[in-house]
Amino acid sequence: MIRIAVTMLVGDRAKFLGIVFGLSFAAMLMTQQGAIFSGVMALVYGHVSDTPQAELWISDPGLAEIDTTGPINERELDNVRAVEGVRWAVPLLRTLVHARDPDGRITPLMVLGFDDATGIGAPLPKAMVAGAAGALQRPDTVVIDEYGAASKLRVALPDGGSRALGLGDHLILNGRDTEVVGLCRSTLSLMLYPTAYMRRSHLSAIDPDQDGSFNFILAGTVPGADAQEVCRRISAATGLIARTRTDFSRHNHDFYLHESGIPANFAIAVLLGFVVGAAIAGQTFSQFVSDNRRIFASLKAMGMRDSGLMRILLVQATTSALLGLGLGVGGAALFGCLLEGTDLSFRLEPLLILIAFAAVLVISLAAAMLSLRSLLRLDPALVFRS
Amino acid sequence: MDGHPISLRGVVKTFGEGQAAVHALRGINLDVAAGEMFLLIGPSGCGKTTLISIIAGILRQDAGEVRLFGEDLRRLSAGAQADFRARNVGFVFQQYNLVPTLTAQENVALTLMIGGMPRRLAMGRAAEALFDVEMSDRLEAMPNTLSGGQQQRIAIARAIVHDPRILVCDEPTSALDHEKGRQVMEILRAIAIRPGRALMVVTHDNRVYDYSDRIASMQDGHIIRMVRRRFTTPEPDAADALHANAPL
Ligand SMILES: Nc1ncnc2c1ncn2[C@@H]1O[C@H](COP(=O)(O)OP(=O)(O)OP(=O)(O)O)[C@@H](O)[C@H]1O
Ligand SMILES: [Mg+2]
Repeated sequence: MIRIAVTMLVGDRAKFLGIVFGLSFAAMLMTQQGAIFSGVMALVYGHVSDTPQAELWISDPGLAEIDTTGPINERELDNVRAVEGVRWAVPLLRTLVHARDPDGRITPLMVLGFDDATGIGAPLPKAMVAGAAGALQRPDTVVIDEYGAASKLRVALPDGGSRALGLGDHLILNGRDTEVVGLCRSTLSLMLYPTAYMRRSHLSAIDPDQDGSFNFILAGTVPGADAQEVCRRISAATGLIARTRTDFSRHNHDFYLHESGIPANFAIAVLLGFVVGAAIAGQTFSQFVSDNRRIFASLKAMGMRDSGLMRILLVQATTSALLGLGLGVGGAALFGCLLEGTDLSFRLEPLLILIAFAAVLVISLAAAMLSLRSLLRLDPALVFRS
Repeated sequence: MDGHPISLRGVVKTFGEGQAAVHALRGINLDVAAGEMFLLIGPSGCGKTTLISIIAGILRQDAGEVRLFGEDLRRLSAGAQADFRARNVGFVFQQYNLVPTLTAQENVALTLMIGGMPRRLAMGRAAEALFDVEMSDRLEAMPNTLSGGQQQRIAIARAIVHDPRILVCDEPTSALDHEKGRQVMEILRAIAIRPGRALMVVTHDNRVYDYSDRIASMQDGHIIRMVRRRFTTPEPDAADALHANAPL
């Protein structure tokens, strides 16, 4: 019976392709958009991921998300260092600076001013692709992320072309001439600002607004300490808010999930994929059943019970669903491969594939159930009519 | 109605209502014996197909009584009616109605598999039935690669492979030329007539009358005449020889 179900489905080539197309369209749009969504959402805590040494992120209690927070001063830093369980604590100044390239064009840079004394927050050695973070000890020097250097910060050439910003090139940061001494890999930011790294003392110097303050304290705990407990103690002792890196990442993620239009836009695309895919697959499936009603009527006349007809439809529906899922997820994965090394972030997670599978299964089973109703009403006496 | 495999009394069937009502059957009384070929003839629209649909258990009469081997199908649940057909009824259609994506052998085995037989066993029995209709060299053929006469032979194999007690054929030769039609009727005579089986053939085709044992003429929903032909029921031992290993 499985064989009759499958050959019947595959034998009606045009309709078979239509059904599978509809389902793979739904599966592909859902996984692809879902993967981009989850990729984009991971960007909002990219700088947290890029700074693995920091176990705790401490900020103004009013922090909305990583880009929207208040100043912290040296006295508060000392208070944090005094809290039991804190092994070390260093300042991080994270701020947007305008870069003017030699042509006069202005580009916003997200600059991370890391602690002069420890270098925590500077690019890790393994992230460096050119130059060295050590060169940042010289004043008026900066390390740029390679993506920004190759995209937003390209240098115009006399012949009308352009090249990526490189070692030894200069940028005017807030009016101050700064030399590029390194290129590194870094997670993109949500706004796709290029990321730059410099010592906090140098960054404070070119950004006098900061007035010596900073906006994060990165901290480590003593071995064996309960990080959550240390966070609670820091908050109680200083009035600042301390979060573990995981909690801080999730906090930023949740902020964009609830406060931005990003999820809604992706939800619409996903819904569209589901609806359009369902419409195509459902319509074609019911057409398929209706075109083959003579065969179904014969089976009915020959004594096949309703449960047998239902089994045939279920086999046809699950076959289509599995094929649609495979092609759709395959297509999305291919799309992801093509995205390698571009602005778009792509995270095809197992959960997404599971959701897409559930979705195509729902579509195809619903289509089968709708068609089953017409099959149950189908008059077997039809077999004698020409 | 005692003893006859198929027995109808006062069977009425009307399609539609009021002005548009079509009185397809207007009170049919009919007894069909087993072991002979019973032909149902009559002009187009007189109700032949309606009548055999009711006899085959795929259409319900509006009034009157139908007994198939003593059984009143109206008293059975839908599922039990389906099971009754799977066990007891074979169909041959004018348009063959083979499943186009299955091989000849699979088409024949389908009848048995609907009745619950495992595939392997069903395929073996299907091969035997195809041998009986002289199609054993085309077991793997797809229906669309076969001629109409060959397809109808496969359809006959499909209709009798489960040894049904009722075999209904609606215009089995109408889509075939004279020679092919003759072959089909000969095959039906040779392998479909069995003691204990009622065989009904609906036809327009007066060239096949000679193959029948009994002919009922219908007109406007009535049976107007019944004629016994020169063909007589084959001797039981001759029939048994043809079906030596197929139990009744
Ligand atoms: N499902 C149906 N709905 C409405 N009318 C029907 C239906 N089935 C049959 N009829 C009508 O009932 C009458 C008898 O039809 P039936 O098919 O039994 O005739 P027939 O003798 O088999 O004709 P033919 O030789 O053309 O096949 C016809 O007038 C037909 O139009
Ligand atoms: Mg007819």
